[in-house]
Amino acid sequence: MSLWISIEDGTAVISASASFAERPPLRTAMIEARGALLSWDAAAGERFPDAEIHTPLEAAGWLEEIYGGAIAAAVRAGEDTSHPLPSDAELVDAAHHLAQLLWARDWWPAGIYTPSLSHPILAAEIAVAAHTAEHLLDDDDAVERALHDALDAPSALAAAPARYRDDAAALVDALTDLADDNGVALNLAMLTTPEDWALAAGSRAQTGDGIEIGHGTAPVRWADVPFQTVAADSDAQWSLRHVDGVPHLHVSVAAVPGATAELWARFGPESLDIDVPLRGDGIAFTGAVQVAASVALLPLEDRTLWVRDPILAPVPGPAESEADRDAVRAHAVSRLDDPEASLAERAAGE
Amino acid sequence: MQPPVTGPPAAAADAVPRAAAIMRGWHALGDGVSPLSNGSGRPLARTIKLVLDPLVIRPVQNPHLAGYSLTATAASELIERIVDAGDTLRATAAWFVLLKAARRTLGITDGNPQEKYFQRSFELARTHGAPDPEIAESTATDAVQEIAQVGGQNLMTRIREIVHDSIEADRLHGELVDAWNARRPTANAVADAETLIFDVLDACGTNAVPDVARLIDTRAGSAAASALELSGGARALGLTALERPTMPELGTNASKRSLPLPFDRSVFERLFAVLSGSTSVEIDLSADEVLSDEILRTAQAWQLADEESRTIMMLGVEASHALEPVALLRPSNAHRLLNGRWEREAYVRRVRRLPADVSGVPPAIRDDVRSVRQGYLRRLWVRLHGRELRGLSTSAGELWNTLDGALRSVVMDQRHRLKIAIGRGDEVSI
Repeated sequence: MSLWISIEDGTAVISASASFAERPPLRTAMIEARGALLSWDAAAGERFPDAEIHTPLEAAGWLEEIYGGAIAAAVRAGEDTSHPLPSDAELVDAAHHLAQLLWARDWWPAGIYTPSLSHPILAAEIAVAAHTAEHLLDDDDAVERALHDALDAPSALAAAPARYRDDAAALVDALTDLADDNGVALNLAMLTTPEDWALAAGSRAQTGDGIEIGHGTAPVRWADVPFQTVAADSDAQWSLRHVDGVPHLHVSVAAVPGATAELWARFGPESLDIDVPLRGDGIAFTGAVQVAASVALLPLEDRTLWVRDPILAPVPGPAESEADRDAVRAHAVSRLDDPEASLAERAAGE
Repeated sequence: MQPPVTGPPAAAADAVPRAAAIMRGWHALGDGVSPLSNGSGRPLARTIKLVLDPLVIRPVQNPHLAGYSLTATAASELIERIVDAGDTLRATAAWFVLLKAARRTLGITDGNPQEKYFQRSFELARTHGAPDPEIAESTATDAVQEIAQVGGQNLMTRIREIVHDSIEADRLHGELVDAWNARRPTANAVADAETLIFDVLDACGTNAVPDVARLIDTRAGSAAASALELSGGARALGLTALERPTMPELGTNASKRSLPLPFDRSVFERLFAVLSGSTSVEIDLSADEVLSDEILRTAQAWQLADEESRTIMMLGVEASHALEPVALLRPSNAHRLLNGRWEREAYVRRVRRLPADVSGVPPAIRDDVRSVRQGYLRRLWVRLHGRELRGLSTSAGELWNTLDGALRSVVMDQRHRLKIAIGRGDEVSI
């Protein structure tokens, strides 16, 4: 295996592939480094990231720690070349670890078969990992910022499953030291109960009343809904029913247990103006609206359903690849009993 | 303002990344400096910013030790400087631990201990060497108490008392009127200012250190402020909501959540914005002096006191054209890099599962994202104003970090607000 280096218009690209291409966001584990973006395929086990180096002089300060001396020298010299995978990359594992944690924070596919992650524990691990890689991050306040996301971690860690208690205690110690160094006051009140840990997800399809005159399902783009709200392994369902002779559209989509969000579902072409507000009850997001009788006559290709958070997704985007989503879901399941995985992932697998 | 730095750029063949040289020197110091290190044993960004650069390496005085990369000889010298300061740095680390303990004992919670105590720990290390157990605890307690007393909160309390005293307030209002009546336009800048501006911006993000001092000498920064007096001039830059800047109120109260645009802030609000923050503020002036200085500052070009700050505002105005959706005919390196950061932002937001298209977000955030140039210039002004109040200057070597850092801060702030909008964050911000 080699890493390819190419230079164009002052930007250097390092990639395991000679033809570098952007990955879909849902499988991109990324670090914003000084002078460069580093990204890994979140669902693959590759050790070395792709890099887009927009300020090579700035990136030169840490490049050797990620790619070793030979590749760092080639980038400094502005060479289009390839090199074998380095063996002197001191910090690549620490950087990869941070990138995977950030990816899990944003894209972990919690759903019916994949438990959700504890946000506070993940945030604590991110803070500690950011401290390790602090000097290569393009944000002098990265650790302090991460600590503010981890204020509730002590109580969540105190409720960790018994077999991970030592890991949890070590994480609390590291987090407390960091908070002390940065003047951040952690919340030490014990609020979390074991029940707050990964819950078995379940969905409840809403059947509704009346006589069904049509139904269907549609995938929900992960990018269109906030993290850990809609179950990532379940499609949205719709059904058209006559209730007392009046047509109603019912929509439901399984929720990550306990999740709340303000979601909407648009049925059919935008011109029909059928937008259904969905209410979450911790099990599913559901909603129903009265619609015109002509909706029952819509051709099949127009019976579309678009579930989204309108703030996150004001316009429809291209469908996400099922292959990408399958890869991410499989990766997540494999992490639950992987001794190398983060504490948040392992604990969720309990 | 420091003299221009004119050290020769390191030749590519023997160039050593400066950060790598710092790391090598730091590794030689051993475990004794771990309180000043990150989790992989490298010096913290704040260690470099507050201790190594200003107190050990001193690139302003040693221009050959500035820039992104160094010659092999300069790199050796830099490493030697760090190693030679080893005893002091280890003692600094030991003092920092003691100061943190004293802070806990005293129940002080405001501010970032690294920001507040790193430089004082270095001073103590220089004066006392390693902490002597006999007096270390009391010395640390005294230092922490002293820092707390000269901190911004105490000064702000005194300022609040003064502006609430009607006799004092009348006197200060008189000072304001006098200062604004005495305002005079600045003469035009020298003819070649445009070339100098381009050269300075083109040196940003490269190993060359920009010749800011020459630009300051032309007073082009002050001259550029005349555009702010044109109808809508300052408003177009996001510095005021008014047609033209007007004399500010003296003011008696302020809220961090509802500060007006920079030129529309009262004198009190301007001081509050700097002195009530969480960062360390040590000002060796009385409250009366601070108020009088601020009043004079409001009536000066860019409503800033130093030509250095005005020059940087002018450079920011020019460089931030890169944030507008128009192609520039002759972009400098600073334009290219600022544009690159902003262009990357939509992609980064997609990867972080945040709204890349902001048309659905609440109007206040949407407008801020869409008028990023104005937000950028506001942030730059606020930072320069804060530095003036703290008596800090911006060396030529720090210029790019200042211009780029303001945009980085704006985009991080936008991300934070977008996270809140989609229910993924709380109001705590740093």
